[in-house]
Order: sequence, then C-alpha cells, then structure tokens
Amino acid sequence: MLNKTKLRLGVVAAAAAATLAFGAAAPAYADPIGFKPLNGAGSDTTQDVVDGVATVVTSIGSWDAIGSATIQTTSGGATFNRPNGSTQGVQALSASINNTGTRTFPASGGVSITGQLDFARSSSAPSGSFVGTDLTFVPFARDAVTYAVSQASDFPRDIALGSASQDAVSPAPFTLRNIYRGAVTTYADGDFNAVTIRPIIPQSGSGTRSFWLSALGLTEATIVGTPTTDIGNTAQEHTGTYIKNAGDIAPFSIAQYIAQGNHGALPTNVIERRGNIALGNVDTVKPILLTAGGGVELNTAFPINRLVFNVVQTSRLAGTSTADTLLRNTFSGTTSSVCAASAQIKQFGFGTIGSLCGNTTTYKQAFRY
Amino acid sequence: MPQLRRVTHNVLSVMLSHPKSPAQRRVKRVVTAVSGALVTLAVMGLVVIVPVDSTPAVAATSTNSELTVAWDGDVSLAKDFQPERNPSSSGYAEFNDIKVSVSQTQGIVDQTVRVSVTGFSPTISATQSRDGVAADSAKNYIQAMQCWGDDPNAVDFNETCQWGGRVDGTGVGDSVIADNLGRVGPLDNDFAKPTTHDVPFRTANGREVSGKPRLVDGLAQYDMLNYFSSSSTNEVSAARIGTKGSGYFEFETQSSASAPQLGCGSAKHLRCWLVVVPRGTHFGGNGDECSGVRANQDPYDLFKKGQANVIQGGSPVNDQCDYFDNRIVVPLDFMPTGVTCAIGSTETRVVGSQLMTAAMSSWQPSLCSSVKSTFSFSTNSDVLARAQLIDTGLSSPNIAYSGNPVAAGELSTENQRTNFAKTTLSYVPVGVSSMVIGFVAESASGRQESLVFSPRLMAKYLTQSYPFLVPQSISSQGRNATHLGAANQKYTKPFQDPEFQVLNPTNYLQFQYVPALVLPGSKSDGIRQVWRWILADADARAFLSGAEDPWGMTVNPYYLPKGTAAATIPWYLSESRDYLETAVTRAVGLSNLDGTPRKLVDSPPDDFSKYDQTLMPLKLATERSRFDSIQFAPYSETFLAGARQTFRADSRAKTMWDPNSINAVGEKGDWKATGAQVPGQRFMITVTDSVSAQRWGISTASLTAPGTTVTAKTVPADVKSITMTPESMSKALAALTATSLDSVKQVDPSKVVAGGWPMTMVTYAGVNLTKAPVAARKTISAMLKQVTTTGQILGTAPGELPTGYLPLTDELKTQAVAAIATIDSFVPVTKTPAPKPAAASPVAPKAIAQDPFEAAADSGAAAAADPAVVAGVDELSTARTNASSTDPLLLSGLVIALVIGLAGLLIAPVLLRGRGFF
Repeated sequence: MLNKTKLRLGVVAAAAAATLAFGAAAPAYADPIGFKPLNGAGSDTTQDVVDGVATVVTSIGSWDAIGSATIQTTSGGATFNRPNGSTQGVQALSASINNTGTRTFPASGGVSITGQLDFARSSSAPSGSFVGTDLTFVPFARDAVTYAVSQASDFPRDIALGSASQDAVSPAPFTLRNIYRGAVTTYADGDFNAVTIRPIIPQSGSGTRSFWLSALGLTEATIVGTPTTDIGNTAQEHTGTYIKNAGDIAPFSIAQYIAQGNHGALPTNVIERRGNIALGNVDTVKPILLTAGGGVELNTAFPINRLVFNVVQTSRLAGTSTADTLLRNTFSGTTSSVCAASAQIKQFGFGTIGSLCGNTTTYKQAFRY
Repeated sequence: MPQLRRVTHNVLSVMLSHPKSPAQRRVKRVVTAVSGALVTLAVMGLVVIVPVDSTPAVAATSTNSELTVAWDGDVSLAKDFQPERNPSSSGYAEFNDIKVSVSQTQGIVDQTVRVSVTGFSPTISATQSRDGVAADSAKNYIQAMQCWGDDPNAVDFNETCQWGGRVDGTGVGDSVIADNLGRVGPLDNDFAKPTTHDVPFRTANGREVSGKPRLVDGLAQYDMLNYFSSSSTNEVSAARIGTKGSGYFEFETQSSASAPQLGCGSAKHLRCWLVVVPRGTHFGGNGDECSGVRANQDPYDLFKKGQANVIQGGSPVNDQCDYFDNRIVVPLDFMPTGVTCAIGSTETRVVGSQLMTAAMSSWQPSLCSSVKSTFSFSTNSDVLARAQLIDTGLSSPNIAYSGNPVAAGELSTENQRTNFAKTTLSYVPVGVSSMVIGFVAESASGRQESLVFSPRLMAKYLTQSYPFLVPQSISSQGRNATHLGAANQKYTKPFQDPEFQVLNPTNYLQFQYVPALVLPGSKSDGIRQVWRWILADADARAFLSGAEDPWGMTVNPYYLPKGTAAATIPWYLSESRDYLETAVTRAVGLSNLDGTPRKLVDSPPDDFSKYDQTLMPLKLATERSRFDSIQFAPYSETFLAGARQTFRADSRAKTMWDPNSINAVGEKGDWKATGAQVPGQRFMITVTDSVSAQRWGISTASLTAPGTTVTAKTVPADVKSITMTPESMSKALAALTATSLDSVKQVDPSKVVAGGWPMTMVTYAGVNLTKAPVAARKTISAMLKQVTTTGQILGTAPGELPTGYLPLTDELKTQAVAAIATIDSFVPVTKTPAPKPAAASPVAPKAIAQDPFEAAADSGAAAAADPAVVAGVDELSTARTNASSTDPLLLSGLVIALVIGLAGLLIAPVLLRGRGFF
C-alpha cells in the first residue's frame, strides 16, 4: 500500500515536515523520526510499549496519543488531528481504510486520510456495539490494574476485590468494590483514627475508568451518589500526582507503573509522573514480581488484568502485496516481529501472553467512525 | 407421531378460540369463580418474601393454566413437545432433575409469565476479568426465548426462535459470555472468510433473515436487528440459579401486536412456545464453529465438544452447538390478536382513565360482536376526560372514564360551566382497581418481594428529598445535593434511612442499590389518590410542611412554599451559568399561578411534578451541557409503560457523558443512557396501577395506613402494613365517600378501615345523556350492561376482567343497574329546536376568546350542532368504524384544543420547573 520509492524520495521533505509537525514541544514525545511503512496511533496506555517495540521493529511508526495537535504519517500525506485514545485510534484506522471512499477523520468535519494509518493501538477488547469482523484486534501483551494510595498513608495495602454477593453484608467488608460503591467510607490509621476515603477514578472516556468499574462489577450509574470522584473530570490516567491525601485511592496501570519506574533505562522517552504512590495487593496477590535478573515485571496472575491489542484491517491479513505481507509479519502470529520483542514488552511493564500473542482469529469488530 | 401431535394442538386451540358456546360458558363461569379464589391466594403470594432458592408456593399470576414440565420423563400436557433425552449425552446428569413451571400458558397477551426452575445446580460466576471472558453467569444458568414454529420437534424449529436481538451486547453487561448472544458461532460471523452455515431467523410470514452479519456500505449489519433488537426482544440471556438449585424469573410474552415477526395470537399461530435452554458446565461444540471461548492459559486452546467444567460459550440456537437439544418447550396459547369489529359498524368513542386500559382491551373484541359497535378507547387524564365529556363538539365523546364526577369548580371557562349546567350526566361504576407502588429489587440474595412504605417515606421519594433522587455527578463531588438537609445528605442508599429500616426490619440491607424512580408523566385521579393517602397522614403532612422527621430529615426545599425561610438553596452557577466556587443563596419554592406561595399539603395534586432544578455537572470539563431532574429520571408515558420499564429495569436516564460520540447536530460528545440496571443489582420503583403491576410481574409494596406512627422508638411489631390483595381492596370499599355528587363515591384513604388498601379506586363511566343521541345512548347502555355484569368475571378470555381488578361489589352493581336505568329512561329536557345559529354563535367565540387558534376553533364550532337539537334528532350516529378518515375540518375545534391541552399536559412539569430560571 505504501510506495517505497516515494518514501525514499521524501527523506529531506520528511525531516522538514517532522520539524513543523512537532513544533517546540516535540522533544517530550516519542513520535517516529522519519516516515515508517506501518503507522499507528491510539491508546495512551500502550503508546510507550509500542514505541519501545518500534525501536527493534523498525517498520513501525507509532504516534503518541498526546503531542502536537496534528500529525502527518506519510510523505505528502494528509495532515490530520492526532488520534487520542483507543476509540479515536480505531476511528482513525477505519477512516484510513475508507471503504466507502467518503470517510474522513474526524468523521464530522475532518479530512480524508485514506492510507495514512496501518494499525491502531487499543487497550480495550473489541466493542460489542460495533458487531462485525472488518477489524482484527491482535493481542500482544497483558496489562494489569491495581490501586494506588499515597506512600505516606496508612491506607491498607492488601484489599480484597469484593463481589456483589457481599453487598448486603453488614458491616460492609473492606473491599475495593465496597470502597467504590460508597459502602466503606473510612479506614483506621495507625492511631486508630478514622480516615475518610476519597475513591478517585480517571477522567470520563478513559480506558482505565471503564476497565476499573467493570472489574469491580460496577457501572457509571452505580457510582453516582457515592464519594467516588474524578476530581471535576481532571484525574488523568497513569498519573499519580493527584493522590495527595491519606484517604486517596485510585486505579493505576501496573505496566505504566513499571515503565515509568524504568524510564531512565528505556529506549524511548517515558515521562515519570507517578508522584508519591504505592501500589497495593488485591486478594493477597502482588502486582509486581522480582525477576531473576534483579528487575521487576508484571505479575500476569494478578486478578484484575486485560489484554492489549494492535488493531489491523482483517482483509489485509490475507493480502499478498508487499505492504500487506509486512503488516502480517509484523503483527500476526507468535513468530511475528512484535511478539518476538518480548524483552521490550516486559521492560515497559507489560506481561507476555505466550501463544495468544499474534492471534488473529478471536477478537473482531466492525469499522467505527 | 407428528400427526398425533398436530391433532392435539388443533383441539386445544379450538377450545381456546371458541370458549363461548352457551354450555361452555356456564361451565367456564364456575371455573372462573373457583379461579377467582386462586387468584386471591396468588396475589397474596406476591408479597411473601421469596428467597431465590425457593419457588414461590403460588406464582404471582398463577392461573389454572399453570404448567410444569420435567426435563426428563415428562408426563405433562407438553410431553410430546420435548426432545428425546439421551442418557449418554454430556449434559444428561446435570439436567435430568430439572423441572420448569410456567405460571400461565393460556389467554396470553403482552404481559409477563413467571418461569420457575427447580432441580438444577447453582450458577457459577467467572468473576475475574480475563480476556473479555468475565461473566456473572458462566456455568449453570437458564436461557429463555419465544418461538413460533408449528412443530417444536422439527429440525429447523430453532429458526423460529427470537434470539440474537442482544447481539450487540446492549443491556447485557457482563452477565454472559458475549458469543451466547448471537445466532451463529465466530467462524460463521466472519465474513472475511465466508461460510455456508447459517442459523437464520424465519418470521411467521415466511421471510428468512440471516443470522450472520452482512456488509452494507462497508458496515457490518445484522438484518435480524430490523425485526427485534435489544430494546424490543424478550430473550433472556441468563437467569441465575440459587444455591439450592432453583430460581425463577419473569418472562415477557409478546403477541403479534408487539412482535409481528412471531405472529403469536394471529389466526395461524394462536399457539407459540416458551423455550427454556439450560446451560450447564459442558461445552456444546467444537471450537469456534460454536464459540470462541478458549482456555485462559498457554496454549490458550479453543474448547472441544463435551469438554467438562468450562465456561459456557456459544449461542443456544446455533445447531453447531448442542445446547438447543437440551431445551424444554412450553406451549403458550395466545389470546387472538386479530379480532376486529366488522367494517362499517358504528364507532363509539371512549376516553379517560388509564385504569381501564386492560379491561377495555379485553372487553373490546367481545363488545363489538355483542353490541355491534366499535369502542375506540383513548386514554387521557381524568380531568381532561371530564372536560371533553361536557364539551358539545361533534366528535367529543359521549362517554368518559374517570375517578370523579364533573365538578363546576375544575372547569376553566364560563362556556364549560354553562354547558355543564345544561347537561344531564349519569355515572356508572365500571371498574375497581388500585394504585400501587410497584418495584423490582434484586440483590445477591435474589429478588426481594417485600417492601413497606409509609406515607412519609413515599413523600420523601416524591419530593426528591434523597440525594439519589436529584441530579448528581461524580465530577461535582462535594457539591452534590448540598441543598438537601444535613440528615438527608447522609442517606446515599435507600436502606440508610432509619425510617426505611423500621418499616423493613428483616430485609432492609437488601436495598443497597440506588433506585431509579419511574413516575408517570400524565395527570390522573389515580395519582391524586396516592397523594390523598400521603396527605391523610399527619406525619407526612408535617414532613411536607418543612418539619424534620424523627431522625432530622427534611423535605427538599424546592417543594416548600415560596418565601418560606427554609425555601432557599446554595446555588453554584452564575447568571451566565458558569461554575461558582462560592455558592450564592437562591430562593426557591412552590407558588400558585398568581404568584402566591403554594403549600403542597393544601390540596392533593394529580401529577408528580419534579420541581428540583438542580443541574449537573456544575463544572463543565469536556461536557457541553448539563442534565436536569427530568433527564436524570425521565417520566414514563403511562402506568402500563412505567410498569414495563420497571420490569426491564431501564430508567432511560441520560447522565453519562460520552466524549467520543457525535450528537444530533454533529458535535463531538453527547449524553448517553446509562442502560438497564445490571441483573442481580436492581432497584426500580414506579407508581402504577394494580393491573399493570400484575401484567408485568413487578412486585407491589405494602403500605401503612395513614396515622401509623413511625419513630425511633417504634418497634417493628407495631408497624402494621397492608398488602395489595383483592380482600384489602374490597375492605377499602367500606370507605367509599361521596364526592361532589352523592352518587359518585370514591375511597377516602383517611377513612379506610384496618386492612383496607388505601389507594383503591373506583372508576366510573360518565355518560353525557344530553349530548348523546338516542342510538348512542342505546349502544352505551348495552355496553355498560355487559361490562358491569359478564365483564366483571375475572379471567383471561376476551370479554372478561383481567387480573388486578376487583369485580364490582353487589353494592356497586346495584348502583350500576340504577345508573344504566337512568340512561335507558332518559328523555331529553327540551325537544324544541332551539334557534341554533343564534344560540351557538355567541357562546362559542366567547369560550375561545383567549384561544390563539380561534379561526380553526370557530369553523369547528360552527360545524357543530347544538346539543339540544342533536338530542331531539335521535338518529343513528353518523360516525363509522372508518371515521378516522373524516375531513379534519369537520371535527370540532375542541379536538385541536385537546391536542394543545395534551401537549401542555406533557410539558407542564418542564414549564413549571423552568419558571424564572432558564
């Protein structure tokens, strides 16, 4: 699909365009340097790990979720709004495939971006609301989510997940579910003083928010009227700096925690924004395990976990063009170059998933605009 | 064998569709009398606490057509419809003790029937959120659907089943693995690699609709969703089984009126089927031809057919899985839906109280054959029906159902009062039913069927006095419900109110979930009866007037009279509606139209206006607008609709901001519905009538009589509550008290004797004798004679009285006979032709002087004949069954006025709310 000749010819132009596109704030973000054959955008949960994988799988150009307002992914291609988040990534990929010839990104008032993206990063599984098989979600790693509290607090560090079957138990057991549905509102600190809990969830629309609620068996409707807050919709996911009080608790991606901790040693730029948080155990399971080499890695047995995906067009997985073959070799199957980059996946805090990596038969969804 | 079955089928349906030979009718009456007693028991059974593990002794709507079918070795009427069981099949040992009981299998309409299951194993959840396979019901659960196929043993019977409407996952949450929801397995779903296998849905009209998705304009589409979807299907994705291996659920049966694709109740398909598919612990197919579920550890293998102890993936109707082989098939004999009156028969327009909806739909088909007239019934508010009754417009009705007589005091124009003075009206009692507080509450311990309300507790709900009843947002933490009293703010869940605990001492902890309160948006005498019950109680009156309850809770300030010191709130929005960090004090409260302060306790309202003007979220981040009380808790259209919404646990609230969706005008981000409540974590409350509550299988709360004191010192034993039963409704009739007319009596909730249901209502047919021509009077008289006699026999056949009504007592029947006699013997006061243009013209314009639609109304009024003249003409009514095609210009101006009136009614709460604010 991509024209290699054009690519080579455009090297000089590419450098110029990149400078323009990234602007003054560019150094903080790890957008691709130069044009790549396989471009993707979307989730901020997986942006760092895919950036990391891209250091060894050089065909990948992974565009961050946040940065300059617009991006240009191919030489001479359209300049379009930077997709931010899993949903927008999938929307942009659908627009890029442009099966009707009329799709734009954004869908309303956007520009045609046909052929500008080859994959999307998604931290959530296919949405049941878009039934179909146009897109294949290819899993490549596992993320897990636990809760973060202030390091300086006496907040319990091992909390049960809880279940609906305990809802009518009085007094309410000290579980994550009961904390977020407002049935448990305090804990006792070292002096046996009751500390009021402030359960925090990330901003609306974020993957961590919906994932956390579903893990606790709660819905948006069931947390209304509880002390649960998104701090005026300002709590940013993967950021720990808003956890300031002894009673604060918030969900936190374990992979992000590890990656941010490794930021000095990582091949790409990862911003350490954890603040002074400590991660807790759930049902006595540790979120992080020591590795033989002295490092840490995500505990794939952690009870609250999810697969993360790269999304591609289903029909291209069977295509015969050079570009399609490259796409397939990069993402499809356990021997794909992404799945082979297990060292990078672990370094960025994610768990590897063995033979499920590169699966192209299970997770499907229709185009989304 | 199939031949034999078909014969049985025919005999049964013949008996159903022709139950009315004279001999049969006599027999049937005896049976009905007996079943009346059974129904009594059944209704009482409703309020007994039913732990999920026990099947209720008598199901809620138990009838003499209850049927129990055994999974193996069935001997019931349905034995020939069950598939053959194979003892060597993988599921045999799990299923062979299962028995399924269905509370009603004949005379089925759009309603619910209770399905009870025993002899199964407890449902097992897969609670861990792994790879999208988290499911509340992962093993041992029940699925149910409605099918129309003639032969339930046919190989393609599964193609006639309504399943797949939830294929998009809407409203299912995590209750089952997603690939249960479609019709085919993942292999056949993949149109990138087309397969030949399909599980189509066949409609009753013979159309075949693929169960596979199709590419349309580049988008995947399921054609079956054009026939049924998550908002309309009645398929039960998963019903859970309790720890003792039993459980029950309400199944929504759909007639051809609401589901034409099934055609149930049409002449060809009087019999349809409830198909129950048990899901055990064995896998039903080979890999992704059945389900894409796979092991959650390396090497992540797909499951194989017969594999033991695995999560249940795959569709129950897919023949690539073996789940459908384990089905239990229960016949459902529908009430014929196609009955229409002969074309060209006269049409009698009936308007008024919603309380008569169910009775009228049962009576109508019978009336059109016996009385030879089509009775078209349109519901509206009682007060509007009364105004229409005395109106003299040509198409205004001669008969209107209402709980009260026309009273000069409620007529708004001089013209109406003049008309009223010249009009002779007769009131015939036609129905006894009651208002109820309906609810559906499910907790981890199963469905809760017992809940007690005192008048004050209900007043707290109707005045939005709990934090969970006013708009709230988690983005506005610390600013939510700050206008409520300090005590109120502590009650974030219903059970936290000590009054709730005193009233519900044994099970209050089960009410953990924030209730969605679904209130009818129309006006009604029934709603007034609810308020009369509340206002008859001194404690409730004190609370509504601003006094604290014994625990310090106070009424929402928006419901206090304007100008009261307490009627002020902290307000966090500026004039331009920007968020203010520091609140300003804002005066709120109720006022009359003339601006004077209005006390809620002065007169019982006939609506449930939501006066709270809270807007959320206060601080807009990505949101572009705020939601109010109505968007937070939308009104239901009717009592029946509210009951159905409660059954489906869908509040329709739109309070979730979705930044990724595009709104109607193409902007990014929109408020989205939060969807139906999750099974097992439900709490819905509605105000509806006894008949609608029965029909939709929702529980009815018990009430305390006005004057029952509830304080901190009240011991639970002192709280005597009343349950809604035919007996308690009957007892309440002792408190019938004259309204503005001695002949029209209504139950006075303050005078109801111990054990009487205080919200019992008698509905009267008001007949305008002056206006109705003699032929119309004859038709009306014949109709009323039938509905007050044979129409009062409880039963499910056409012409009988649906469950939930109390048959007229002897006293009311006597009154009916007398009132009908006055209709028969009515002689118009004046037969002298009045100088009609002279009489009509000066009056009509006066009546509509303030009406901006004067021109249209005037032409209508001119076309209308003077009532005195019409009365003297005594000709057959000119209206015919096809009268709807009548030139609109011929219709009275009143019709236009009515439409405006209705619209005004619907938007009234909004208007009231918005006063001086938007």
